[in-house]
Amino acid sequence: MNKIVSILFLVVVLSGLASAQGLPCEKVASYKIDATLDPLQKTVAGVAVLTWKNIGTAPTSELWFHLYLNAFKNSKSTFLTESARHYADFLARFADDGWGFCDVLSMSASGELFEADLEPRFMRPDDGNADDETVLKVDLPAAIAPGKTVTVKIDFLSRLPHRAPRSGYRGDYFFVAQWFPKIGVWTDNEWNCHQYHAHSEFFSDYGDYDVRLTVPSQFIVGACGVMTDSTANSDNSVTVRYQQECIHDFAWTAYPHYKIAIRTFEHPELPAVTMKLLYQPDHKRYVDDFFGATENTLKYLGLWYVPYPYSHITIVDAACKSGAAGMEYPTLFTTSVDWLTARGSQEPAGLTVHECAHQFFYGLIASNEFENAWLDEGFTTYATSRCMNTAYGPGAYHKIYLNRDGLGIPWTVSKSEKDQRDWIVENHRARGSRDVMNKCSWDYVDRLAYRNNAYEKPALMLWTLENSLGEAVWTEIMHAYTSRWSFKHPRPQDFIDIVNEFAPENMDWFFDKMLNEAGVVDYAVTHIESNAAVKRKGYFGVGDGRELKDDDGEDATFESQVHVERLGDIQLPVELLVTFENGETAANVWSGEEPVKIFYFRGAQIEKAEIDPYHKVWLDANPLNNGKYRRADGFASFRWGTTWLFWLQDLFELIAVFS
Amino acid sequence: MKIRDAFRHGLSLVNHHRKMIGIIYLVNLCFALIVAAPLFTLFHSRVGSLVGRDELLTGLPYSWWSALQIDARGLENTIRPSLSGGFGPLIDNLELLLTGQFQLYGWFVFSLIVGYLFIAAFFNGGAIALFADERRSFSAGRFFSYAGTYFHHMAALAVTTVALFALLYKVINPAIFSLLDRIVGDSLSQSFAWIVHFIGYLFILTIVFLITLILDYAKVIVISEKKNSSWASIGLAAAFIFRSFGKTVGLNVLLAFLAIALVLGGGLLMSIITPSNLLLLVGSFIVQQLFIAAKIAVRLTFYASETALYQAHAAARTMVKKRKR
Repeated sequence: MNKIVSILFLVVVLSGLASAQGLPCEKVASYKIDATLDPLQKTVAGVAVLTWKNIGTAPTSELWFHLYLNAFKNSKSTFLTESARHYADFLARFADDGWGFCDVLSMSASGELFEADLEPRFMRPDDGNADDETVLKVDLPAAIAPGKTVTVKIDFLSRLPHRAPRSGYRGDYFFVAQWFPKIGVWTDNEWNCHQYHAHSEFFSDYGDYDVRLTVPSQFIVGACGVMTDSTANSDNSVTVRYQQECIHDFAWTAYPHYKIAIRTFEHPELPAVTMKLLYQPDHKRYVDDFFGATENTLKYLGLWYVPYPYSHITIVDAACKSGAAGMEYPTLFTTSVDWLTARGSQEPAGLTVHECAHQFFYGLIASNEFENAWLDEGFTTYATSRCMNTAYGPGAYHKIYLNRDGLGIPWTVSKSEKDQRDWIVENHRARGSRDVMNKCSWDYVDRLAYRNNAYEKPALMLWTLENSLGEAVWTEIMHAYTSRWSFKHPRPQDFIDIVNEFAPENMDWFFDKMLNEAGVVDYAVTHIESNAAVKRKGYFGVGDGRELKDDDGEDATFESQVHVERLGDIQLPVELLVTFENGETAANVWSGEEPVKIFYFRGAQIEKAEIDPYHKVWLDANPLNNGKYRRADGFASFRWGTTWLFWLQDLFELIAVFS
Repeated sequence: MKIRDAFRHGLSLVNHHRKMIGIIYLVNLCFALIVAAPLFTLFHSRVGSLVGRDELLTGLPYSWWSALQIDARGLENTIRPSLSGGFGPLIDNLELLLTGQFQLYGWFVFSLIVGYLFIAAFFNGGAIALFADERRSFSAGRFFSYAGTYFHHMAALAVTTVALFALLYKVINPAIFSLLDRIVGDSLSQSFAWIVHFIGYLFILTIVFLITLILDYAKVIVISEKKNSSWASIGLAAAFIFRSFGKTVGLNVLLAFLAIALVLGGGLLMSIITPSNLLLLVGSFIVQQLFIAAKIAVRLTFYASETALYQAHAAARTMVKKRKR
């Protein structure tokens, strides 16, 4: 059945491939790879032929490559040294020879002026760790001039690690990513080719990929690009060919038990996309959810930003605990779901939308994830929450009872809904003071600092910008950014320039604070009081006009004051809205420069005061203290006091079982 | 005596001594109020003037709760979204029976639990002795007198129960799940892993059931037979259960269904009521308190039915012995 579905898919995507020709990317690094999976040895043996074009302005006589799988070669690699610091027992998964590596067996190059065998040597540009072998450099016999190309043939043998992050195996499940010698990026006339770190992702150039994969015939394969051929071999193996133009990485998966489903995304204003889902046998009930989340992402991000440019997308429901779930590759992404999920929990939609959104902020807008992680993860987190809020609304808080490794009995607490942004704020609040956004991924003090500055803070920054600039301006900004930088490598300044182009004022001050200052934004209304106004008593006027007044005929008015405080380190201008008991309101703007400010009012008594009343500043780490009534009432506290009392009484009665 | 008769007799005994429910309920309420009252005051200072306080009447906004975590102190840390649902507090507590993580809510709550354990043990003596007594009229004096008389036995049995459960949670539970994890091994099927773990919890539940069954009958025997040794009564209880396995287990399964029905009914009712105004708020509080009283009644029905079953069997055995003579 799966084979029939695969053939149908082949027909559908081949027709789609024809229409998707001619994507507007500069083809810098194109690969032709022949590779064979040995599931017993956990190896992939391959030959890669790379055609690389110098699009810089200076010649280069060397080539740099990533050998990402060497991160799992031994416990002293940079990746595993850093991981062991941040995650307890991380190395346990490699026990019983679960290590992985990527060996370059031979390398030769041919260009216009030369043909030569190459001698690779390892480089450690980031940390000088002599045991790290994730970056390799070769010297060429002659320089490659700008505009010229070189062809490099590489024989390699990759061994997949056991349950490693992103790439590896578990049982007979294989997810093969970062598996071949991958050329770095020649940019600003130097090689940008960082080591593989625990907290960093990837950066590479666009090109065409033509990959032949040979696997035992019982395996079902999914990969980046389009399957254009499938040949059964005499040795009970099958060779499948995948091709795709204008992508900057290639990953694939092989597993005998995948189930396949295919649907087409259609929208009147967007190009059709063939969606292929590879799912786990016991996840059949989630097929609609996987497709629905993918469709929503393609729809909303396509309408808001730029249309998804490829004719197909592959959704991989990764095997549990394989380490492969929740990762993006060009035209393919991995997601996952628990066997049982709570009603309204928005699983697997949340993760699926996030990884699919990376097709735009990573696949299409290929920023340098090593150096500017927030440009892909931050934008993706922002776009995910926007898409989820639009397509699904708030999710329900849920809990998993008897939870063991995520498996248990899910239960929905329906009376506690949460906006997608709530958890972003929650994480930001906990981690906000750690480090700054403008930093290389591996330089963050710890995992939480990396996550906050790559994911949460930039997402909240973008929400704050959107609310502050207004929807019309924001739409122009995002459209300009995504359309101008599709198939390119933007830097933070490129986005800032576009914001400044459309915003009514120069926003450098905002980005300077956001990118270079640690800490959080937190404003609070701390005190409200309304007192009877002091009447006019005493002398008023001068000379003959001086009058002694004892005026009690004036209308009853009140003098009120509202104290606001800036509790966070970062200062942004905010609005203050005061509502009076007669229904009138007064709006003010506070620059937030002073740590404390008192606003004075005269008129009716104040009912309540709210800072940032329309919740524009999503960066505010504690929105709870943004508003205050002048008078307290006891309903809410009585409701929760009695609820808590009931819980404790019930707990006592439960414990009576032991008595 | 048939299971059905023991159950009916148990219900009848509880009904005769229903004032006991009121006494135990009041003690339960007062003991809980000792800590709930200060928490209420603390909570009032947090949410009384909060903009958005009305949302707290109908549920627990996640954003509010997560912000509370910033500087929640002491008992405030035990406030959580699952409390807001009708079933949430009940299931949270039931989960503890299978995991034994009673320290989850902090050492203060844990010490309260231990305190209540001995209060419950005190009342158990009074309740079972009244059920075993031939007199059907309730007397508070006799209730407290019996409770005092048998407290040392009940406390000893409570400590034994706690020790057995500690063994279950700290030794048997990890050993079982370590074994099950090995069975699951490198399986990529989540459904298989889930089912294996579920079987593990069923096994734990069975042990919980058996421990409480034996210790319940030990309480009944130490009072009915006026034994001097609490420990000996455990052996006698085990022997009695072994001899009358079908009836003792059957009766407690029936009683367990009664308890489950109460939890389901109570949870459902509390889910329906959204305390969005003062009237509903008071109504919700009354339903909660009625539920606690009903739960006490069900627990007493366990003891009463078990006492009835045991006494019927003891009487039958005595009769047989007399006939043999």
